[in-house]
Amino acid sequence: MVFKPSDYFQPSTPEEVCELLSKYGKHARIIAGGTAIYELAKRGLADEVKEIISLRKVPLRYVRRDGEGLHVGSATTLADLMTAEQTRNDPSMLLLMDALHEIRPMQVRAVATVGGEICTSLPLLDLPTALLAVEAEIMIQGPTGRRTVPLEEFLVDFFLNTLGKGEFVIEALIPTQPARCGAAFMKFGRTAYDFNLVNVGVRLTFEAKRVCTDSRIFLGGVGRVPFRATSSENELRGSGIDERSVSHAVEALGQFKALPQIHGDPEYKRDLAKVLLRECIKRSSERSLVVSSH
Amino acid sequence: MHQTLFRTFAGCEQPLNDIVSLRVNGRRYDVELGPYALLSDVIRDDLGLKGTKRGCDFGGCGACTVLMGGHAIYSCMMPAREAEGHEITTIEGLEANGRLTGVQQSFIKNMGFQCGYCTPGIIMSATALLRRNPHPTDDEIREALAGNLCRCTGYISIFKSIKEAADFGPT
Repeated sequence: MVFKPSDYFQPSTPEEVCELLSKYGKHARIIAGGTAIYELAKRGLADEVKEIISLRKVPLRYVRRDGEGLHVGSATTLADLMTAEQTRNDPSMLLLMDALHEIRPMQVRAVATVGGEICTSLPLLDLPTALLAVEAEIMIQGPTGRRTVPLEEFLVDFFLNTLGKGEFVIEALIPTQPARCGAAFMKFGRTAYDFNLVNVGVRLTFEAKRVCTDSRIFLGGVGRVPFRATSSENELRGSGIDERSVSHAVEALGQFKALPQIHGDPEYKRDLAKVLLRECIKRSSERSLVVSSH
Repeated sequence: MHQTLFRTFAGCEQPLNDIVSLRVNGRRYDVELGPYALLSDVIRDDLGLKGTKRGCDFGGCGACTVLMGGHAIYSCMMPAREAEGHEITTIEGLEANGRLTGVQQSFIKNMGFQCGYCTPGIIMSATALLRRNPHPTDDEIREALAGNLCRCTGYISIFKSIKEAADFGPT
């Protein structure tokens, strides 16, 4: 264990954060809730970290809605997001609440942030899978300005995303959801507060006659990044949701590749994924009825 | 005058380099800290408030739980500097004029502890829950306890203590 940061900064604007990141390069790490760096340091995986940049004073802790959708500042804690009225009153955000409730314990929810869940870029985390299902985008601040990318194009590998030098995530945007859609998230972990073995995020969109016109299905915890189950999605598009189509979608997962974990071998994870997917599809379909009546 | 002091993290020494102001149990403390001092270490070693326990020291057992801005947090994972500007409450800060809170009394009455090591953390979690949600459902109580391990009681008496405290009213 040689975690020995030599400096700690608390900048107050996004521009200052970028300056510090540009100046210190790979030895600098951003913290918001600080839970990720703590875990990594304890495991001896943060030895190269010399400068810590805290987002505590940067005004990135907000949840607001406009015509585009729900904007969530990257330093917003998971507890903040859970209690934000904007989230609670939006039926299409039920999936987000599914995921937030599954991220435990509350001691972590009180400090861990939306930006941290995204930028740590680990398959053990739950929020990315949920956000992918609802087509979230993220806004990135860099030394030369801001850019927005779909979350799908952001996550690359363990601890790896497409952030360039001097860049960091300032906001997640959950776009206004289509009419007549329903979404659900489920996770299976070993204990009440453990990381996931598998998680599933689903969003289904329907036309007036209950034919599924679009489906988004993401599985987390099984690969190095959440993967999109396109063959399962295709089984649902253009059909109604009934036992037969759900079974086809679940079977279409097939023998997908899953990383072994100490608490779950690939075969076990594949079985879990099928159970969770079946339930998520049913819930999404049921919820779309409630949402469309609003 | 504090030059010989070091705050440790996993056995690594860090030079002290900043004075940080913390508000703990209504009192202000100015503490000289290194870049990555952890709140649990500061609470126990600098402020001498030993009611907050170190258990796993890994964000998994909940023995170090304190309140920060009304939320239960793991003090062992919290960089002390991030706590600046927040009101911190430890188990020592709950009693008022020598009188224990309803949650504390309920734990005594219902034997919500055995060895007692996890108890301060669990009481802080229960307090955070009941202050925000005075009438929690059984599931909400269980969810709030998800981050606190107890290896003695089997949780039944802990659950009962919290449920009864909720029935009795304000914490």
